[in-house]
Amino acid sequence: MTERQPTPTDWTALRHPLFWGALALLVVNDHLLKGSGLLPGWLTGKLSDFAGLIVAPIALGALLGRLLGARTRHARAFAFALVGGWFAGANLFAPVAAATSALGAWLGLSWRFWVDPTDLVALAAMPVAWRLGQPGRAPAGALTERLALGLALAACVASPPPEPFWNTAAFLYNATDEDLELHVRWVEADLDCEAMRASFADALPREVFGAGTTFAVRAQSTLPLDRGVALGVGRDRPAPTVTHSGNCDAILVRGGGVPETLIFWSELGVRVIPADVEDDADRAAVAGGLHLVGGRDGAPIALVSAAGYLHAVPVDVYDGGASCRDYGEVRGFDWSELPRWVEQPLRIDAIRPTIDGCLLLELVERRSGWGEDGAAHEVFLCVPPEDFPFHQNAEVRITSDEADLRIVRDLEREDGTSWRTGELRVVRARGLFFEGPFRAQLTTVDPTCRGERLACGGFRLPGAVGLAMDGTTRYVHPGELVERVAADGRRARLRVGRAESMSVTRAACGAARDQLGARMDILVSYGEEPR
Amino acid sequence: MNSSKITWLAIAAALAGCASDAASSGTGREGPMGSRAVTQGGAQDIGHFRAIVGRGEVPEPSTIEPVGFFAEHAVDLPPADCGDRVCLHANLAVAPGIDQESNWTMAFLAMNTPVDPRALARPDVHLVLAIEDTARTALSASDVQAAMRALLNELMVDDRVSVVRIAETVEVLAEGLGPADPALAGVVDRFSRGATRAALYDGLARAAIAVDDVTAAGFEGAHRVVLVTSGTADAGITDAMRIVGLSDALASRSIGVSVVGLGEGYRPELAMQISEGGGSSYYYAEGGRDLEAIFRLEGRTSLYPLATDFELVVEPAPGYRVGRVYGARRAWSEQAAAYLASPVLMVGNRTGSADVGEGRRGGGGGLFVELIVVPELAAGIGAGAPAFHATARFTDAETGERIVRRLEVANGLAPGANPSGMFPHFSDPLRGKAFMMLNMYLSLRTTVELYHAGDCAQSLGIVPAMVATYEGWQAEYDDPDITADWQLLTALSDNVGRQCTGVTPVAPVAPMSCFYD
Repeated sequence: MTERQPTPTDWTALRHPLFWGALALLVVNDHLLKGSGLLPGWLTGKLSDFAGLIVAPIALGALLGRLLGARTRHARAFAFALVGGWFAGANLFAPVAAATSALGAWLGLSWRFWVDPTDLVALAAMPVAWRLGQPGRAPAGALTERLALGLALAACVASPPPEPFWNTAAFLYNATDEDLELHVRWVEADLDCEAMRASFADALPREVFGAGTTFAVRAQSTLPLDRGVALGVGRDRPAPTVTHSGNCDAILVRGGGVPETLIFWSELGVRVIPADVEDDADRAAVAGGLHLVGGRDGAPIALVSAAGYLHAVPVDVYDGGASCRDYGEVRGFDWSELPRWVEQPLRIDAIRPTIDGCLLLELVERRSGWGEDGAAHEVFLCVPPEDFPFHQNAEVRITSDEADLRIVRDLEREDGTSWRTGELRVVRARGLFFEGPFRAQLTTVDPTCRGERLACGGFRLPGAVGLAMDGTTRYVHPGELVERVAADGRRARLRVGRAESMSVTRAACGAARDQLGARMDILVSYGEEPR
Repeated sequence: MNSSKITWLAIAAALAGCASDAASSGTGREGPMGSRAVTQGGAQDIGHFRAIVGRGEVPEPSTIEPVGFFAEHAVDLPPADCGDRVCLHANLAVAPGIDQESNWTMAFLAMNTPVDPRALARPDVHLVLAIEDTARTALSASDVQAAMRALLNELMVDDRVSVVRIAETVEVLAEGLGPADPALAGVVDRFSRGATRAALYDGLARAAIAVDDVTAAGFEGAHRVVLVTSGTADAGITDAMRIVGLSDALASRSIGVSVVGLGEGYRPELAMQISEGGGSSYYYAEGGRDLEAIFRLEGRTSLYPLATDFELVVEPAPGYRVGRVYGARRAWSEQAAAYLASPVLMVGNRTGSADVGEGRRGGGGGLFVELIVVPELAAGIGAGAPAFHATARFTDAETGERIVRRLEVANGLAPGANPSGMFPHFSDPLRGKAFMMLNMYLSLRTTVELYHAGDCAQSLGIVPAMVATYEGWQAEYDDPDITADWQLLTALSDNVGRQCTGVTPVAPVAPMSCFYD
């Protein structure tokens, strides 16, 4: 195979009108438009990215091919990969951006880069640039191409720093004339955004906010409040992991003359805002945000919020829970996990009550076809003992997962059909629940209850299970029992263990209350009686 | 044992959930002989917080455990001569707020007992060791062997020992064996560190069943559970409320659950809640050697129940509402009342060698309830009117009698009025130290809270704001507990200062009082 040598035909792209157009745009944008106030900062930044990703890889490819004598295709590919890789890295990873800025400083150039994943959209220009750079027939080294290469390198290297901006839904604009140090603590709990709109101050005590970070917010500058943006910029600390139900978040902010304030926002769309507010265009861009105003002539600094933001003083002594009642005793239902491989029949070797009202079931595997006992298992089952419909030595089958446990006892009739003599189903239901003759749904019973703060930092709304019965709704409170006859004639008993809704939760609330939304612990048992 | 590394949250304490002899308080003042303060279970000092400050760092607010802080102090109470096994006492302090203008009205409730555990015969003890064997606790067989040997050496011949291994499932390795039974030596071979999860509830429930089994076999002594845990329940039944409820159920049968936290990723929240059922102690061990020392102490410990099903309700009198409550993690408040409940109150005794470890062990503690004046309801109420009522209900553990005791405490000043001068008004002027103790706790907590909230200036402003109060108090009482608190506070403030260079302190806004000008 004959290797293709570098040819004097590789500088074609440097003469292409599109290259010149991109080069002109880069120069005009960087040196005339940026900072002029004619265009918003975010737009001039994006223009530079698009133009730069056409000019830079073509110019670098041409330069490498010339200087290194490398094969044209390889030099071009290397140049595109280098520019594209660096651009993506600098916009995704703070260390790459910081290293680039440091390199610029070392070279005496004022390069400044910010991590901004939305800039990656400019990579769309690279295929265009690649196509322009296809080898043509123009002789290398012609005056036009040399001029283009020189201008391109100068434009790329001497590009002024872009105007910094943020892509964030929530932000705070320091509209005062003072530089402020603000300490921001993000909530470290999962929030039900819909419920929080009405009760964020009641529901969020100081204890559910993290340690936070202090930000120096210069006068007439902005601070992004989206935790991923604020904590990701120039810092290697991960954002606290929370999973809100909906689009919202909450912070506790104080410092710089700003009294401790709880701020909640919801349903805000991500927008581009300038980091520094310098002109009318910037001021228009930050309209509708959270503004700090005042501070002149000793006036106090005040917080002014727009639509989508709510703020309040933290509530130290919350008494809204005084009107909240559980009209019964909340005792959720629980069970130990069974080994996954237990699918064969089990004999209940012993049933022992525990001191906290649960049952220890000593189970023995029955080997199919052998009629012999196999391995033994101990399982704790926390349901009222009177609702457990089985007796010692009963042979049962158990299926279970984290939210649903079913124990059945089937006896075989002489005709080969089976007769289900007893059944217990225990569920942790989140929405509607259907079992036998029961149609259940979580229902709020006390309209004056604003919610109850829990020691774990959670916030709950007590409820009851509403059973649709004969065209009406019957409320079954925690601890209560209802009996009905199933369609197959069996007598079915439904008991409620827990009926509530969590609008704030965190891991400390335990397995029973670490999920947002409705939660009903319900058991349905069918007694051992003939049909 | 490296006592500088270990966090002795209860070792050598007044035996958690137990009592301390007020006469040996170390305050330099004679306490009422024969009376012992009844404190809560759980942490008995703030050794972990103190160690962090000693390293020159600023601890997280969660590390200053109020129950442990107050338990370090000796607090004088009136003699326990109420005729019951548990006596309730109350005091009221009225002082200016830290801004020297606002009003700070605080109730204090505490209990003591005339029961002297040293005079009681030591019952036979059945100890159930429920030990988590996972990669998190990383206990080797030799660790377990050394700890068990230390424990067994302290037991009497008629005592009994059961061992429950907690992993993804639980396993009873020994049940009701005598301390000299050779079978106990074999259980250590079952510890492998191979499990990745722990069925904490299942282990504790199995321990409770072992108690029943040993009782059924004819054992008539006292039972206690020692739980060794990484603080995480991630197998079996994992609901934290149910686990704490099981511990409470054990406590209500006068079976204490001592908790030993262990492991690098140890999470204290659940473990501390388990230990606060009123039964026993809470410890944190950094390794096998610490565990050995803790087991030795547990072997020397005996607990005697005083009361079960204890409830305390503090209701503000007209003109006041309830604000914050301090001193008891299990207390909660509403505007209408503050509440504290505990399944059991016990008094403890320990045989063997003298006190060990660092820190102070005053055995003090109680419940502080802030009373906030409601101006529109307080109009027309003058000096000497009631400020609050306290009602204690409990069942005498010996007689089974349900006892209700009610106290009323008056404010010598009109609601919201500050005393003339900066000396506080106390309803019991001889016993105001508890409020100074609270002030020192709030000073420490507020300093770390403000620092971690990013407010260096206010954080550094705590010591200047409190110095007159401290010096004034010490000029009058020269209390070594308060001296130690102040040294800790100034060391903490120095640490803050090193992190906040060039910051000028400013007067803090904090819910504290100013006792002296």
